[in-house]
Amino acid sequence: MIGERRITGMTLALLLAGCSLFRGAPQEGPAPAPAPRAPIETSAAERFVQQQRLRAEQSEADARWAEAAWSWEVLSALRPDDAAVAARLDAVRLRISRLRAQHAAEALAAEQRRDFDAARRAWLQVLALDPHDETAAPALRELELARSVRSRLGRFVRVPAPSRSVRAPARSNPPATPALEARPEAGNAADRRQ
Amino acid sequence: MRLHALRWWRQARLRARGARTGADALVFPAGPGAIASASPAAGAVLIAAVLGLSACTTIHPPVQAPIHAPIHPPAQAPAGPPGTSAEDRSSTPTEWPAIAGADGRVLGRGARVLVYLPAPGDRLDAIAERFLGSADEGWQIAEANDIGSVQAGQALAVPLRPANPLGVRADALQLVPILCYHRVGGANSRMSVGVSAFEQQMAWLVDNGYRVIRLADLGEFIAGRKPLPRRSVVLTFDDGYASFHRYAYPVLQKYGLPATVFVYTDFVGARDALTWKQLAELQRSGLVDIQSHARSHRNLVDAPAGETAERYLAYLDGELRGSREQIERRLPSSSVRHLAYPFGDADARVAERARMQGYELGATVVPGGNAFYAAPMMLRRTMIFGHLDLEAFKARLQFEQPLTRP
Repeated sequence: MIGERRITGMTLALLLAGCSLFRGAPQEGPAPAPAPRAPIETSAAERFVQQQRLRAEQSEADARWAEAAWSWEVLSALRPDDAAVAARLDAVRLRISRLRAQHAAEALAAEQRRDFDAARRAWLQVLALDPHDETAAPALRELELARSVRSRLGRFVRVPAPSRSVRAPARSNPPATPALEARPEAGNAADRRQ
Repeated sequence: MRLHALRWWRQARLRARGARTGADALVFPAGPGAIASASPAAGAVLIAAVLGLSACTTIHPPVQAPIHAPIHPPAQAPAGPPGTSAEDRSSTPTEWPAIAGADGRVLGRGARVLVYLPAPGDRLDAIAERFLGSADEGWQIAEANDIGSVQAGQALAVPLRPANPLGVRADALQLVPILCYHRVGGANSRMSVGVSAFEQQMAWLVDNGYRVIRLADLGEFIAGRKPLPRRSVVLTFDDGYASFHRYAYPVLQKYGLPATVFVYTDFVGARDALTWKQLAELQRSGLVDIQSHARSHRNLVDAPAGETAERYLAYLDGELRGSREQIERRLPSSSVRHLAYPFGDADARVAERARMQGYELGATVVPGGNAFYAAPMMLRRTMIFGHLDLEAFKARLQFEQPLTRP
């Protein structure tokens, strides 16, 4: 009998120890009664659902399709059995797929007619629709590389130097990119040409 | 030469693709199960904990199935575009790593996202560490939810795969500016930024949501391997002036901001230059990365008059390899892979030669930010001059470019 009580007591102690271990923080004195969590979680989940739905609908209205798809996907994670959410997600994805094909075709056509700025804009639209598109990113990198090779990027920032001869600088007085001192207000003009 | 450059880029692209595929498999630390087999005593403690856990969970009856779905690690990230609807489901039910004190709840999950209700006092970095494997990734949760910090009772979408790894949105393209300083304090020159102005600039970055990242992180971003926070910025200091150690370094330490110092090795130890001892100290700090500004600061683009092509290439190699090898020899813990071209001047031939000498990133002084598709050996940098006030400084932080939509 005494042995059974001892075992029961030890089991109870283990249960309580397990509970405090899980909570992590050491507690002193009697543990407070746990607050009912389910209502809190329900209200938080419902509030989150409303926010995400608003966000998804606003993104659709603004034609920010990737963001809309993301919001519907988040909702779908929370409500996997909600047919309406799944339908909205599928509709947005279908739209993305069509627009993506359209912009990719525009980009390829622009490349063919050597209108590289238009090609760049179209590829960026592809990525804006589908940030994980595997065609657009390499195409944009190649366009940029070709442009940098064409323009010999890095050269044109320099003021045509009065003397282009190569000379070693004095050890104590390095020529700290002096050409730029002559035109500090160049600012981000080069970027506006992107 | 152009063909060479394009071929090199294609190879880099293939390498990046390979690495990206590997990076998709998220790695998580071992779960509690790893502890269980440690010893019989530990096993007993674990049994107690499990019993306690089951007792605790019985206190909270499930509201509905998805809310109390088992807590799972993310499934391997799907490779396809978001149009593949099957990717939202299916995963291997394994426990997330337990974190002492973590008491939030996973309310639902898909393959690319989970919805999490933080515990009181939960922080973004702790949540990121738990679900994304690194506290440094908290910004991804912040950006996905458009928040600055965790609010009590506010559920969060946690992106298990970067939602926008290349920073292209419908209305804007993410850019990462690299700021180029020379001297800080100690000289009355346009190339010298005053100490108080420098501290003001750094404080402004920190106070206004900018993330100062390492140049290597930018390299990962443009290789497609690592997303970056929207307002990322890189700090670089050219030449290797002693004033960096005296004035700039303490400010960077104060705010915990990483930076790269590009030294040209012929200058090290000169009158107002950093010494090798100081460079070693900076390198050891973990905050400052020492990289190459070539050997003599001669313009690499200019071939000496009457020089043969062969001798010019040998000269380039000497400048590029010589500085790299000297830095790595004098600072054994360093790995020199980044180059700031002297005068910021480079062409395709110089860039290709630098790449052949082991450099992975090359910085010019073409102003502006860098998009994900920037050419790695032709990075843009924005000069910060001594005469710029704070408003002019802000105007130079180009972290996005508006996109016009059709």
